[in-house]
Amino acid sequence: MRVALLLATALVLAAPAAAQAFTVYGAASLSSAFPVIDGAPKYNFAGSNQLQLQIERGAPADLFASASPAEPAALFREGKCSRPVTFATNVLVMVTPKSNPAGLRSVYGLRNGNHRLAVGTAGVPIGAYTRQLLRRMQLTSILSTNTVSLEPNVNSIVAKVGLGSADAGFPYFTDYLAAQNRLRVFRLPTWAQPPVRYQMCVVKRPGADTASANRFMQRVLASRGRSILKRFGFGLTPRR
Amino acid sequence: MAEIDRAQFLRLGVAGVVGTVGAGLLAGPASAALPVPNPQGDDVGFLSFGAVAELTSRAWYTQALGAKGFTAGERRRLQQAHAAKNDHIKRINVALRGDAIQAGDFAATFPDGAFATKARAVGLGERIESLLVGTYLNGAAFAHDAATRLLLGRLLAYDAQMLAWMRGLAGAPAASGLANPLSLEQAGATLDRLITTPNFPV
Repeated sequence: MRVALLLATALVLAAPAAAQAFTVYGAASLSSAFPVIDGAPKYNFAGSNQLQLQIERGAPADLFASASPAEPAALFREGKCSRPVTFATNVLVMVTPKSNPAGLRSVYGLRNGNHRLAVGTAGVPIGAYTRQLLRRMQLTSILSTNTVSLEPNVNSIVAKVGLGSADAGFPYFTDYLAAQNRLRVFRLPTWAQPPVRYQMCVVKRPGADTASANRFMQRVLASRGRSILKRFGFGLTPRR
Repeated sequence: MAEIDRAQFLRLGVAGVVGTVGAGLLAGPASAALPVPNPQGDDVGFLSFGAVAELTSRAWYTQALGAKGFTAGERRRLQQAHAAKNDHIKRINVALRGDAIQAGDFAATFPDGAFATKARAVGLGERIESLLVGTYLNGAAFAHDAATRLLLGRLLAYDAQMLAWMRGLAGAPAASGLANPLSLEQAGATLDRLITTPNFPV
């Protein structure tokens, strides 16, 4: 009887503990690297703007890692996040299916129109960066002369192009590396690259696991974390 | 380059004349107050390219000042041009607002030995100034926003003057006809060979 009571008590106590597992909300482009740096947390990977919105609405995130400084900066201003720390960089590339059925030779080939493109929505960092790059290259017209599929995050851009549902797409270089067996890559001009910087911050909310979030942050910034990020193709900012 | 009609041809001609013949006259007022540009559509491309190319050009002037072979008078000119480049970058970035180019995002990577002799240094400098002049010429003719065209025209005037000076240093005629306008595709391909993005993946 006593054993059964102890067991029941343990189960009741264990349930909330599991529900409150340390949770990292990360940009979709981090979905390959982060679990290698630390397999313990519960991860929620999506577009950074969606994650920001969820955190603003009280989602149970403990750490937020974004593909652009805009989202953590907004949370920091609202008092919902610690001061953001830059931990990685990236560049944009154009990808086509491996077989390149549209016969594209460079991004300038999209000026001819009538291609199917997979592009991030304007609100998600990859979409904002893509539009910035196209503005710099004077290629914004390709978003109206081609059939554009607006994607909520970078993983869906890669999926769409990899499956051949789009002739070309604009993900990060690291996303190409993760799916290079299905994709062909085309470099985009260096001079037109927007500065893609990843930032993370510890979420401030009642009951947040701040200690675990800080430990995770240190793990990402440590030599091992940096070398894993590098292995996955990310750029690194100088050590602070 | 796309085909151009008669009106566009005439605008290019005017911009070219301003850039080459009138460079000396316009270079002085370059520091005068200008209306604030409000770049529209593709105007951002001319300005963004200009900012990165001006950063590269400034790096050239920095290294040229440390190179051998320039006379005292030439060094003074290099020093002035270096200061002018700082001013150009600031002006362009003001116009670009949220799209402003940060100095740390790009680094100039010149070929080995590019400054080993004055002739080689001048050759590289001429190449960079030609990129700027060709792009500004295109922008001064085709930018949508009038204030952006004016800014590009002023930058064109100064850089055309520096290009003519460098040609003189190389013993070539200061100008051999009107400069050719360059598309960003053409100019970008050349500029990309001279820059890297430090801290960003290759």
